[in-house]
Amino acid sequence: MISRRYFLGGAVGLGSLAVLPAGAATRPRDAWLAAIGDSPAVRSVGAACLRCGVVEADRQVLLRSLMTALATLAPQEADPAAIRAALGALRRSDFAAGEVVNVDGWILARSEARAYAFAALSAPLA
Amino acid sequence: MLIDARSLADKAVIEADLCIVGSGPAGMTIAKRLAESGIRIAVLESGGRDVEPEINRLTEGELTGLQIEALETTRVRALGGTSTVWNGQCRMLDVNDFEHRPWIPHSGWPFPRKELESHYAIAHRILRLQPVEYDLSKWATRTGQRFLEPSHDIFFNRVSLTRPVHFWTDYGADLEKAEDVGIYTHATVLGIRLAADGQSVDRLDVGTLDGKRLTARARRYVLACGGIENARLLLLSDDVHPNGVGNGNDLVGRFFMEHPRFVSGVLVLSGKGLPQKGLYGDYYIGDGFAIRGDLGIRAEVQEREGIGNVLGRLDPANEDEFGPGAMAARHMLKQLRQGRVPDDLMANLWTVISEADDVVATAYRRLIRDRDRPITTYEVESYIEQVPNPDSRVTLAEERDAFGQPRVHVDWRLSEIDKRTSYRAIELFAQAVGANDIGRIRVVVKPEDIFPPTTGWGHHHMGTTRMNDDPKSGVVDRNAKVHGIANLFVAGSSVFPTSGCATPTLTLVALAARLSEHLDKQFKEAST
Repeated sequence: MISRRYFLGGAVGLGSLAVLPAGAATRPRDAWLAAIGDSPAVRSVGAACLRCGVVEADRQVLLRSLMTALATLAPQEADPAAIRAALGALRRSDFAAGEVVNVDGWILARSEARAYAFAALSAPLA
Repeated sequence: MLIDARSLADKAVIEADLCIVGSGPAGMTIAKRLAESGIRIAVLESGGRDVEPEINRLTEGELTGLQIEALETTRVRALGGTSTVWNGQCRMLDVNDFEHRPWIPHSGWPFPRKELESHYAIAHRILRLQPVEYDLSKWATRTGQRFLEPSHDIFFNRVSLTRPVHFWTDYGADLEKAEDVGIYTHATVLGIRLAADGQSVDRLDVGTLDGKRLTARARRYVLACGGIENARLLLLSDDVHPNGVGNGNDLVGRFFMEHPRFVSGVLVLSGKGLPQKGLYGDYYIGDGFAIRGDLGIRAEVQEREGIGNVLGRLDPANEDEFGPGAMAARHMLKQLRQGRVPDDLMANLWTVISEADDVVATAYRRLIRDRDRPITTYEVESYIEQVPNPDSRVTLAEERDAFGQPRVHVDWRLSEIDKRTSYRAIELFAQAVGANDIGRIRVVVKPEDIFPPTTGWGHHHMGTTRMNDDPKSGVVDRNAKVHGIANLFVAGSSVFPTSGCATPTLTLVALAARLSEHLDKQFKEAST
């Protein structure tokens, strides 16, 4: 079960995401990870998403799914803020369309569940 | 004039133009509206000024199916009826509650809400609900409070208006003075006696607990003794029609509805939270008048999802309260309060012991709650429309009351659509808060556990003498007249064909005001 404290304190998708690292990330993977939030809380929620089997358990597949869904975003976009804004819009749109998953009772947008799972499967930022 | 029926001679006859059975919100509204019309009115009330245990025991009955609260604790035989114990919360039914909804069997009222608008206006005045404002944004502006504003079209904010009017305390004195109104206390109606042709009421048999038997005769009669007792009285009166009065199509007592309610989720807000004394609780405006905001699901979403109407009530909570330990403790406490042995006792006890930190933290935070701390976590209570179900019903029991009359048997049953509404509602609220960046919801019920033994109720008894223009589908017609009986009417929530998710008093008072106009017109036409 996702810890409430992790969920509450982890700032996952709740509009108070962790402070972005200064400057743009140098690699797309790092940019995506920075945008999603590279923290134990995010990884914990991501691990729960994977454990519940509601998202693909493959980092590349997850990233591809997200990039495909964000058609307006440039493929090589490396600005975490731009990625985060696009992910936020996708998340809201998923919720409105009923594209949701149930993770230990928490109702999450499918895209945000994918994003957290991607973070959980990625090595921490240096 | 207030008359204790026990002071009358045995076999005395009470004569009036209109006889109203019951002095609760429905009966008192009709008496009040017609008090100055020149019509001689007799109000027959089973109780007295205060609740008397011996009399209130007449309301006891059997319960099967899903449990509701013991009947004698949720119904009152006294002047003012159930308004002596209610909390005064009111809201109109929604426009779609009146419509025929193809996905909800037996839905649809004989008239649209707009036909009741002028009577709703009267009901607001009677219930002293001023100002009549159902737009939460207007209350937010007026009070300087924030609220959850939807930008997607799944949910909307509802508003309830609250002032606990006590119908006898507030209106009794005027009626006591009214020349043409006689209010008889301790006068329990025991049966409706029909004329030999079975098409009109000839008289009512009335009894007092000290052994007197009286007769009440009038030109017209209104049953206004509650959502269960109205049906019981019709069923008890079986001397001419063996199935009871108005029951030629076996509909009396069927379609019993309540408002199932239960905690279905936890809302965690994403922002700074809302003040504890905010709009999603009883917000006192002044002079005993309060408003309350709740969440609703839009009519078009109900249609798309094939569900009934629903209200999401937000109650401030602490994060700790939703850990497994605290949830197990609450589950057990709730069942104990309902007088039951908690189910899964050992498993729940073990959960409480193994999660003791959560349980202690919950209790501690409840005790020392910082009143200024913004609320970031809310318990979501789903309060759903029970759709009409003919198998959910009121019948007569074997056991007898102090008058030797069969007690009532209530078999409350819910249906698959109610289960779907209950589960989908919290999912839809979760979608809505996510789409609006309000926060996230954790669902704390599972589809297989919907309507657990701890399911609550609203103390709202509805539907047992439902309104429909077709006698094969309803007990009363659009004017609340019992089909096939020329001079017998029913007032109260028992005539509701559907229940919506609004508290019923405002609507039943509006319907009573409507019925009083109809009766006034009938009496005037008869006298010309």
